[in-house]
Amino acid sequence: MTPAHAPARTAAAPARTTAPTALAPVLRTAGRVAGRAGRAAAVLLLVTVSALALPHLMPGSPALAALGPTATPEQVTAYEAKLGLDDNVLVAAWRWLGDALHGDLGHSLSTGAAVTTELADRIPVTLELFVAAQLVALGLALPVALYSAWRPGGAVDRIATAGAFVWLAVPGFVLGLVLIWLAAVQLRILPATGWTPFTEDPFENLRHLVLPALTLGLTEAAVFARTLRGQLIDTLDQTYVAAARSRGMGTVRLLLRRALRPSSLPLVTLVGIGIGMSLGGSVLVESLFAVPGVGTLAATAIAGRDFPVVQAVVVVSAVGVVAATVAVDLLYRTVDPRIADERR
Amino acid sequence: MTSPVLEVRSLDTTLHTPDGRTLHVLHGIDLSIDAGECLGVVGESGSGKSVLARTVLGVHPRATRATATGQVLLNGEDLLTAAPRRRAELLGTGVAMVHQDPMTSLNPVVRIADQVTESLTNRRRMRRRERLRTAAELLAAVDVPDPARRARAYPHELSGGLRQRVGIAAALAGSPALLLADEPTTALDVTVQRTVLDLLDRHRGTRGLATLLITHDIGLLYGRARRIAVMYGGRIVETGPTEAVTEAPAHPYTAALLRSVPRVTGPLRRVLPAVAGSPPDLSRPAVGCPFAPRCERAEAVCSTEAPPLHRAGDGHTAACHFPLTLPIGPASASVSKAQETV
Repeated sequence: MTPAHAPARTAAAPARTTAPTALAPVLRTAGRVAGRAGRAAAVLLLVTVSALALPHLMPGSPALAALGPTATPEQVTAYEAKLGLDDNVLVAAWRWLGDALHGDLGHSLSTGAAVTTELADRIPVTLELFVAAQLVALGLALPVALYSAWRPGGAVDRIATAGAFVWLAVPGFVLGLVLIWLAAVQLRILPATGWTPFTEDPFENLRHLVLPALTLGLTEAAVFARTLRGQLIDTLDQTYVAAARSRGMGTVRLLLRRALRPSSLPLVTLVGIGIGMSLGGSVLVESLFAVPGVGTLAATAIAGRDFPVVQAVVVVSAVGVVAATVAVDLLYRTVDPRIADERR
Repeated sequence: MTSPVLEVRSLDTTLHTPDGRTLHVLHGIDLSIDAGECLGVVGESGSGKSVLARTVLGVHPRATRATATGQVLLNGEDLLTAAPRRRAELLGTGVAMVHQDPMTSLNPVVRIADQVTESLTNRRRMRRRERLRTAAELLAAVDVPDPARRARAYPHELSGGLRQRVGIAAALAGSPALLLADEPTTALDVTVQRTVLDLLDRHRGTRGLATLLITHDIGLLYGRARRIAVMYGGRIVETGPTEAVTEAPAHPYTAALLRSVPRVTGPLRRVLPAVAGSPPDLSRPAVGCPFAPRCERAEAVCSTEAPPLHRAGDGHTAACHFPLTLPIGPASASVSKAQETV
């Protein structure tokens, strides 16, 4: 498909032709990784070109929009040159990529600051929020799903099922508002909005983290719990679970050591997709809690037509999605050894 | 005479299925197995032979609720009344099961070593190195070639025959006194069947293992099972020494089963007679002889009255109104079922 894909094929070839030696699995893995990398590069190239085409696709001239109706033609031309709009999209993309590889993502039109500096400040915040949200989601979903699946139709299961559906119907920002009202306004135990970097004051950082992480995590917990419960119920009906029981394995060990792993593939996918998506930032939640992450950066940049920033956020998110997809794919093979042998 | 390893007395099992049906699956089962002895339980699908094994084990499919009455004595200890903790203790170490399909009875994402050693690791922590070593020993004992490498493998990397050996190794790991083998070779190639059955025989001999070998293939029991119990409609309809039952069956159902076994010495292209009709509906209460609707010898009494126990020979009995053999000893009806355990 793409030139980047070709080396993958040649790398994988010796693994298929040689007899099974100690080296064969290593070569196979290497070939697979190379193949993935090739596909990833193709996706990223496509996203980059699309992102750089954004200003071209806008109705009217972005320069006019930025400079206002009183701008002279000279000013507009100069501005367009600055944005790189005088070039063909592909040329612009090529140049942008070249600069990006040198660590230069351009400068913000509104602040003039380097986009890389801006992102470097915000990516850690978004990642921290994401990790905290996942901990909340998994911490809630795992025990609920395990117990519900062990006793389907029992009290815990029925409450969890009903709860999950109500939960899923509530939009995240509504939940966020309720949490703010409860924890910040009524109980006055947590700050409603704002952020303190971890390096400045770890405790304050955690206090600011709680509400947005809960808002993101609680919604996800419902999805996780529903997915995992269904999978677990299927797994527990398998003969191999009965076989393990017939060898005297207790309930807790059976659930945690034998049933959880074969049931967790969809969950791995969900978390993986979440990683990628979160880099683009959960715009609503970050804005609601005034968390200075990638989401708020994107929201401000889009509103201010700050194209260099928007483009960088789009490409960085794409990198995140692609990286997460590759990671999920590799994780699949560890979770289920059959997958590793099936494909190629 | 030594006491039997397994003694089942007047066992009745009722299953409550998830879709709300109640099935009276086992009716008054009596049987016993001595140490080192193999009892063959034969019957068609739905005869209750798998439920018998599961009731003895006390492990049913998760969605099914089972109630059992009577006695299941393992070395004199009643499993039906034992505390749950005690029952769990005996699983794997007192009684173990070899499952029917080695493709589905091994966890696909757990290494062979970890599954084979389960009966041991449930009681006591084992380091990874020790698990691998123990598993390799257990696998070697069931003739798995290259056991150290196979211990590290996942089930999908093994052939069906090897997987069933793994299943047997896992069952033997806890040194049980009783082995329940539920159609252990049905899912295997004919050539592999024999080696797996020979393997079971060998361990029965060397370990003095009492074995309950369940099969729908009566031919498989020749030369392996000392005694046979033929099940139909949740009852043992005929039982006795293998030679007696196969050479001179007293129950029409046993005779029909035997006619359906292919013989190497018979004429070629002979159409094998199938047992006509289908097994009884277990959700309806059973009156009379369960085989009556399919029996060529049946008369009016068969569908109204429970058949008496007919003594066909020494330790050979059949529950039938019109048995195929002449009775020996006292009139059959006077012998109560309870005294006449298999």
